[in-house]
Amino acid sequence: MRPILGRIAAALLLCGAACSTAMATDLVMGRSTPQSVLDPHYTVQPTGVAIAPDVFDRLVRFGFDLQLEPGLALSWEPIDDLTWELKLRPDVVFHDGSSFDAEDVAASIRRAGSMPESPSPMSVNVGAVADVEVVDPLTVRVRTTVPTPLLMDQIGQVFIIPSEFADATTADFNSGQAMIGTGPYKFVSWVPNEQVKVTANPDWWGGEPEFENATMQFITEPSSRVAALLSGQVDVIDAVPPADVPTLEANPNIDVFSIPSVRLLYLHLDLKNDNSPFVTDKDGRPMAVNPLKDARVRKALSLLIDRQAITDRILGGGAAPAGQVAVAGQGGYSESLTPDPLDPEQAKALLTEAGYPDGFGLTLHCAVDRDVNSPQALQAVAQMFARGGIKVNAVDCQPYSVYSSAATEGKYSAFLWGRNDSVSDITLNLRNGYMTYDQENGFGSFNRGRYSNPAFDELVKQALQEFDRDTRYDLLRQASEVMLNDTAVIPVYFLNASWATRKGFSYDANMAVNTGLQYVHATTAQ
Amino acid sequence: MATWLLRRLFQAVLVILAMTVLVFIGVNVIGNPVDIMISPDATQEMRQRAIEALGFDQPLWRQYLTFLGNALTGDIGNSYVFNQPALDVILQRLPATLELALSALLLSVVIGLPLGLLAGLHPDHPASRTIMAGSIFGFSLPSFWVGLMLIMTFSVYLGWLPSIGRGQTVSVLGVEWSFLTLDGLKHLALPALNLALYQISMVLRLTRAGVRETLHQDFIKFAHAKGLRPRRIIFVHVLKNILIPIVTVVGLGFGHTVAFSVVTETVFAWPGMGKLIIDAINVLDRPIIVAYLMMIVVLFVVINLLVDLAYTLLDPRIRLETQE
Repeated sequence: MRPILGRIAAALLLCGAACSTAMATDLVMGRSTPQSVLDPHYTVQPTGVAIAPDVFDRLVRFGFDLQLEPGLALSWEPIDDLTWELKLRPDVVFHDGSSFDAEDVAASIRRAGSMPESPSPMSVNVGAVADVEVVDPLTVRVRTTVPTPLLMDQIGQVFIIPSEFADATTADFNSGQAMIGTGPYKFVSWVPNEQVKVTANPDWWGGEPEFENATMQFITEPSSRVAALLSGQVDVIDAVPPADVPTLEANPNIDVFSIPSVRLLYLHLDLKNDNSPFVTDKDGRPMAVNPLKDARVRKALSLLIDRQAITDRILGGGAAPAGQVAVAGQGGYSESLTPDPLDPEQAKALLTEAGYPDGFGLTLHCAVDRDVNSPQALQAVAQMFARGGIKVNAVDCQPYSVYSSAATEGKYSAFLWGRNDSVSDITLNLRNGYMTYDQENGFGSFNRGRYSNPAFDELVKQALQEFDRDTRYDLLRQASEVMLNDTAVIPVYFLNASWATRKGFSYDANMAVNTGLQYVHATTAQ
Repeated sequence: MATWLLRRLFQAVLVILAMTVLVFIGVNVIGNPVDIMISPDATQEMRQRAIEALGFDQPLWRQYLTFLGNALTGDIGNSYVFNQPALDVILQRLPATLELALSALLLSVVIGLPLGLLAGLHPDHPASRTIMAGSIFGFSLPSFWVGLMLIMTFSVYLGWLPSIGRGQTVSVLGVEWSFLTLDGLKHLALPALNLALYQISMVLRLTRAGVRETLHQDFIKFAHAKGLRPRRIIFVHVLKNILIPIVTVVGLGFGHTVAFSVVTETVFAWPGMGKLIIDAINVLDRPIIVAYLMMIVVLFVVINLLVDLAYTLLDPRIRLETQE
């Protein structure tokens, strides 16, 4: 009798232990970018976001295909050219017990646009908003200054705070006092530069969160991050260095989750100056004519790049060749724009046709500390150009602080640039990056190469005003094709994003490169 | 004494002023923080507004005068990245760095002095030769690599010590300290050792050289002849005479570890202020750069002051200023 009772007791205990671990696991995440400020409206930089998506909710959620899904807003409709009506989710409660309603949305949008002292303000997301009207506790009307089909992509990124904190300062958030959101986790504590602790919010509208307590540790040094995962101090890390991915994959206790991301590395070319600063003839003397202004020359340069070799060897398989600026699933993606193949004969033919049978001289620039292995990739590109007859005078890599200012001022001729675009379509990407520079209308604000094509401008202008999604996506696709058949820029590769977890956890790899607690899952499989 | 102190203070203020001018010119030459940090979705108008709000559209001399005016009222400016007063950001992180630097100082003295004495007193002993060879590794191996090796050995393979962060802290006088808890000490061990390695080697070699030099002096022979115990000869007469260069190096080393312990703090994810200055320079967060460098000048001035005072204690022949 006793041995049987003993076995039953042991079995019950084991069941109890197994059940309790399945319900209340804790999580420690090692994150590469530290949280500089807890105020969710201060900046759009990743240092200001970090824990915010887990503590606060937004009006929309972005799916894995970058398309919008309901968040705190259940539906959104344009009722006329300048007004959108949002219906909000009912029965949502803040962490302090107060209920969520339209006042909170209005207060959050207003606050997000009122941070003048920020060098990277969230006003980019609320810039089109003229007024927010509270119709009833669950309905909001947003009036815009100009027709804004993409309003929800923009204001949908604003974190919603309680209206009582409409006048809260950053210091109030940093002290934790104002850190009240509707999200799956409640804020517990913040040690600047070290960690943020949160605890589960069991009343979250999206379901009970998987982890009882979670800590986000900030480990900026990649090797230390990997070491912390290997020693078990953290359960999941982001930004796994590409060189370590094979070793980690071979480790039986670690799982790696990789996906091609939206981060595109591409070559901007100087299309403004006739006497481009870093373009010379074969003898190194400046030229009166800028060969880069000829679309055939640009196409030839693109055909000289062996993208597959770069992504396989230099980035260790941690990237994918790029043929356009949009990713599959994003509005504006074109099936016909495949990455240019390596074709030195065609390149030579194009160069000869354009009048440069012996090529010309060029200096390439990049930022030294911005993307992993980008200087090496640029050096490979330089070698490939040299094989095609272009004399590369130098590959000059600068610290980002110097590089970004100089590039914006148009001091370079051919430079490697990286851009993330993780919204549902590429309208703003095209508007800011490739439309003819027009300060008055706000077009082409970051068109560093000063590409100018009236046909392209016309298509994007139409897309900016087009409320019907399918029509807009078609216009964007056409605009993409015009721009890339003209080789306005030379897309090179999309970087992979990788996360790694210890056995017992998994991570939802996503191409927008979002790192957050909601993407981690505890797996019961051993 | 008082005039000497006042003169030192005055010199410190001059250095600070010169440094602020250099920082303003330097940042201005590189560019402005808006271009580095602004969202690529911004329009020209938003960019211009941000630049104006931070004052970067003004001529440099006017930006500098505004800064001086605010500084006189105690306001060095708000960090662009943290949106907090720059000085607060630095002071928040100072205790962690001080803790690390003081632990490294302690280790360098506690390990370096005895080993150096041993190597100096028995230079031909195999242990001394090993110690001297080891000290070469101490100052030539890059601390980045040593730090990672320490993590791999003690944290990943042996699992004895944690590799990142500060561990449990206890609040004393309103400041968080981690050396008062066992968990905190475990977190402190590896980074302190990593930081101290260079100092240990320096102190070790200086001590040995000093001992070798002093041991053959007449007054030591006289002390032997007088019949003093060997322990008293070594620890009172020899040690006091060799301490001056050691105190100088330790003082400067301490200042250096407080100000520039970037590598160790980054590798061990130690939440100190070492990384602040590099990050601030990378994004041109000018208020932090200015506040940080100001603090460093004050720190070095204080350390030099204490070292000079220590000289007078160690060697009664030294006067702080010439007396006529």
